Amino acid sequence: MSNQDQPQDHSPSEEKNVNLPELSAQDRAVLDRVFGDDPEAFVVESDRDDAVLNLLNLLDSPVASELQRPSRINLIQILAARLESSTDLGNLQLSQEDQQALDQYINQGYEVDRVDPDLQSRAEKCARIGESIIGSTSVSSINTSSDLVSRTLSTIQAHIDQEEAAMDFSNSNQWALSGRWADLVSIAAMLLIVASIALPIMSGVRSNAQQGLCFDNMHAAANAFGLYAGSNRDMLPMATAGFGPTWMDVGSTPERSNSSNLFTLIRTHNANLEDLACPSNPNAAVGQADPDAWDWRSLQEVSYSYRIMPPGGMRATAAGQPVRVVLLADRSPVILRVASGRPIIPEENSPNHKGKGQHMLMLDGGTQWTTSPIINSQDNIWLPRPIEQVIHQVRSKLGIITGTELPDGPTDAFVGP
Amino acid sequence: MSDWQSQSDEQVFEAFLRDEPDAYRELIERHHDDLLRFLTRMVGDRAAAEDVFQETFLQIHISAATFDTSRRFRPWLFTIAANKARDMLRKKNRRKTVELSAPIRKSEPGASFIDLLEVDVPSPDAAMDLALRDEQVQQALDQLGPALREVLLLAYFQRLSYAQIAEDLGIPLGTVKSRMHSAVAAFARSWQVVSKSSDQAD
Repeated sequence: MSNQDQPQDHSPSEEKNVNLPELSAQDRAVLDRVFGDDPEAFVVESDRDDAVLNLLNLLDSPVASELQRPSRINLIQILAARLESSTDLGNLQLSQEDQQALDQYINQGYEVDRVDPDLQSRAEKCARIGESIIGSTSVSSINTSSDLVSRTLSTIQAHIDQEEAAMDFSNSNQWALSGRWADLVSIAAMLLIVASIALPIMSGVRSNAQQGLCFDNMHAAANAFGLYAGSNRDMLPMATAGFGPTWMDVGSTPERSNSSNLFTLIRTHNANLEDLACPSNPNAAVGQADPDAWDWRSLQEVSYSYRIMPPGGMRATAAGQPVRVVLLADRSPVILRVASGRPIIPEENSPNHKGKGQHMLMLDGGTQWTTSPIINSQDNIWLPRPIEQVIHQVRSKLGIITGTELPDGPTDAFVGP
Repeated sequence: MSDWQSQSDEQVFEAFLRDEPDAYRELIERHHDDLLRFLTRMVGDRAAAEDVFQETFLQIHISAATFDTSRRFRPWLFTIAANKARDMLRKKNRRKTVELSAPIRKSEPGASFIDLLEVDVPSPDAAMDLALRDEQVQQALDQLGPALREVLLLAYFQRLSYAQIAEDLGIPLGTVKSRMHSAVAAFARSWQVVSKSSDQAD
């Protein structure tokens, strides 16, 4: 390389970038002429000019083919032509016949057959344009429906969380008491009014989004059950062969806790804590599970109630076994009441969704939402059949107040309307 | 379990307003394919369309209380989607960009007329690579201005009458008609150019 070929005017940043190849001075001079003040005046005079133009044409081969003469280049003109091509389409008009055909086609409910016969061939073109537009937009990738649906629900949830965080005045330490006390009172009153309007709406929106996420959890659990059964001789998750004196002592030992059976999905890496954490349960355990854990640490951490496993376990599929059996549901209110020593309310809904209902995952993988724990054949999912029968008998014996009853003597307290 | 299939969009939306679970998911799933196609056509690429898709349903969620349930849900959804797509395009086009590989067409002064019978638009069952056709349609649409693209897409995707489009977009009926005429003409011309340059490239 001669001295003349050495690059002349490098900025410091360019000098640091030693890996970039550099153009010779002659090539740079050709480029300066191509992109100079008067590109129109550029004429190929040497092989070098030709080589530089050929290289540039590589960047945009359709341009070269259109101009069909690589000896002159005017990028500005080409760019302007393209800008124009993208903006002057609005000047185009349909022929009168096409306008009539289009109008009739639209006014006749997009039915070509209902257009005047002599305009039908034109209406057909209008229909084809529509078909090509609606057509098959990335049909292959549209099939990721559930992914986008879940992301959309998560976006909504994140927005709701943000809104709630913004409303959480108690966490804000940025209030400077610099204004007059009366001003602060006015602002506070205004904010309270806004909050009193917004909070019920936000609450409804939030619970709906949470139910959506909970529904996703049911699907994740269904997959996890399937994976587990697939590699465990078709058995549903079990942590122990049978229970000891109880199955509701969460966080103790597998023999005393049915939730440890469900936790098997996490322990065997078929599900993670998030999959089995209902967003409506503030105490739900999330994050990395302890590799040595066999169960959730407490009843409060458990979001879903799992079918009580019979001794020896249960198969996911078996001849004659009904498939519409509830395998998993939002957590049982009955167990929560029993654990805290309160009387049960058999028809109460799960607390996961503010008592409005519960999701259920069936043995066949189907998921459903019910607004009552009583499902087909009057089966209460929170209770075993013998207890249901006792409750039924007690209720039928007690009957109902008919309006003819009287206090059982002066010491019997009994009031009525 | 709610039997959503037998319920109209408006009924499902009312169920959502009553806080019935999964109603909103049902609405999203129900309109997923059409809306995503519409948005992909509007904004030109799938990733951006997915962003606008999410923004649209977030907006619907936020504005739920303002929706008049005696009206149809789908036009409302698509109108919000179109607004969101327009916002996105506006941000994107703050710096005007033109693809250097976009086909060149000689400009003609004043209005020019196009005859649809001279335009070769392949029928849906024509033997053609679907992905290629899809790409070409998108290229042709990209050449249209946003206003023309919007009216064209709203009309075809929803099969709306001129009056319905006018109502949805809040523009006069005559404007809708003339825009639609121009949009179809522009798309037909653009399609001609795109498919011709693709043939030449082959």
